[in-house]
Amino acid sequence: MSIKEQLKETLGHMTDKNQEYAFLANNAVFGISRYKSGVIDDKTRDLIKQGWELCSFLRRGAEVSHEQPDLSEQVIYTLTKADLTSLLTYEFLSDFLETNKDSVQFTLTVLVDKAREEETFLRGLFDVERHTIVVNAKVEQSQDFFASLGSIFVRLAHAGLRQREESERIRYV
Amino acid sequence: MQDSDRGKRVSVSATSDLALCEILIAEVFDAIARLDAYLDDVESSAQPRSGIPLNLFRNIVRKVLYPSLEQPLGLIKQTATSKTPLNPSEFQAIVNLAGSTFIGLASVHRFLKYLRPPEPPSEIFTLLREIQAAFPDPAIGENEPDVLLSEIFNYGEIDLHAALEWKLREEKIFSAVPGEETIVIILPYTQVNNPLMWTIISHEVGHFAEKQYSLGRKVISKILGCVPADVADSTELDWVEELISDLVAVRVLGPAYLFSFISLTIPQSSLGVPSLTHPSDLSRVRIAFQELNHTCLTDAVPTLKSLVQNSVELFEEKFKFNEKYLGDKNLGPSKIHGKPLADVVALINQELDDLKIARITVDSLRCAETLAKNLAKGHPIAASQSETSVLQSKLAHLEALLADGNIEGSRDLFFEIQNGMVEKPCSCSEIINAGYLHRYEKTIPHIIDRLSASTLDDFANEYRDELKQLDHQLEVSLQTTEIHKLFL
Repeated sequence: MSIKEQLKETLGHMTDKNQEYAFLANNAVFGISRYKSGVIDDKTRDLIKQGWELCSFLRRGAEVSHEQPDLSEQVIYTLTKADLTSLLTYEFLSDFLETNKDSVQFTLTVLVDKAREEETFLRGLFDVERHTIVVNAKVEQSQDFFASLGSIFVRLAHAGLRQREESERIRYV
Repeated sequence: MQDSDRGKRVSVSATSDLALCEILIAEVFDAIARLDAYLDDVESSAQPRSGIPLNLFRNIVRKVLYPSLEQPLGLIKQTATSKTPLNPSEFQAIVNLAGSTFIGLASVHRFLKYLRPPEPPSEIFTLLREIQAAFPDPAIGENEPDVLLSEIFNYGEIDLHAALEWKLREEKIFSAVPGEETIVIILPYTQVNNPLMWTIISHEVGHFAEKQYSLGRKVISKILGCVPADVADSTELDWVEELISDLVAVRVLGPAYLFSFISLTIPQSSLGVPSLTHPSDLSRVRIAFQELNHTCLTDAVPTLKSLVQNSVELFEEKFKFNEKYLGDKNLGPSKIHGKPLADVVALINQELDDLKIARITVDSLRCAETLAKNLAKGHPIAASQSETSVLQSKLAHLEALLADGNIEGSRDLFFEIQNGMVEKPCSCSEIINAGYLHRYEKTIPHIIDRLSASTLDDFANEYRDELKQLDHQLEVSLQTTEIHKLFL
């Protein structure tokens, strides 16, 4: 078993983390809805910020994976916890997208590129000068991206929940 | 709830998508309220030494779980006000949010083991005894399982003897453990006082029966044309055993079992995918629904029939959502060892018929429809009076028989009239089916209406109290029906 696989198991298949990411993605969708309807306040900013934070995790995961293609125990333990979590998220997504390539619209590369693009877009969203028709059209796409991400993370979290239950010897309903 | 209040429904845009969102939000809201109510139970019955852990959970309920519903509710209200339907991303996010809040709730639930749990109420055992009594063979009733509460947000049964033996063997400590099968049924902590979800116990009793009579092996041996002893352990055997337990549950408790199964599974994401031990939830819902339609869901019980139909349609719609956005697939099983599922179900039913397991009747469901009306009025529903509308004509008939000097006929009719005037204790299954009718006719629409009209905090407190009152009403009904039976 590789060190990455071991870590995935140790982290209980990241159920809680994936669930947190699903929340971030959903909140981004809700934030964008508020933005579209002209409610530009702290709450809207906070919700949209959760979207770019999620993008930042995904982007960072890809960077760490790129910087450390052959992870050894020595290297993995030197990573910050935030980087380690980002990396594992990236690994989970990689497995998930490979397994579900027929039903999910993204490849991993497209997803990471899109996350970079969305992060930049969302960070500049509150710049008044950019609040144009073009931006309004783009927010629809952005909302669609976060809704899709939310679905992926909910599914990963549910899979983790079931796996956690099945590790016990109870026969569930 | 007044009919005029229906105008306030958040679903004024009336898309079917919104209806699914509403149901999921209502189910999740109800599940959070159950956790809230459970904390009250711990406080009043287990008397924790320090209130600090309890307060921590209360804060999580108030400041994390309920508020997680604020954004989707805001969006739904805005949609209703502006009469603009949700766009697909918004719909997707709301359904996803219901799913992730369900997981969040399951994660918090795991930590409840650090609070002292209250004792399960004795009425759980009343229901358990009734389910066991549906089997004429005393072997099932002689098995005395315990019901325990668990931190896992799921229902199950464990044979402690087999589990311990397996564990010790794995550790190479002992080769055999003394004693015999020791079954424990497991409920999640937060459902301890919810008689509606106790229904799932019937599936677990189905497992006793399936083991007791080796039903799974018998069914597969008929498919393979071999003797049961030659049927090897396999995933298909596990699937058949699950279907047997489901069909026992449907037979004994009728629609109530299907309602509880849907309520548990609908927020989840892989409805179409089987596991190594269980057929997919989708297959199970379809089989249970088909079975109900073939047996007790007739036009004589129009309300139940329509509510079950709606629930199954929503479940199918949720599966479609999962299929579209989550890559969920209908992966069967469509066949067991090459035999179509419908034939397998027929073989299972044949085995269950041979065991003469009592089946819930249309009359029982009609009784449940009447009882639900009393439940809505806040009355206990432990007993029902037989149909009295024909009393007048029967009396006229009796008079005619007496006038004719038909003594024997008069005697028979007299006792028939007398029986009709006596209150009969209800069965637990009638009470619980009535409870579900009340839930889907009144409680869920009420949640949806109130969430659109009040602040979350205000309604959360109010709803928690209503929920405890209804649980109490159902528990008292189950208790009272036992007392009624003593006087028979």
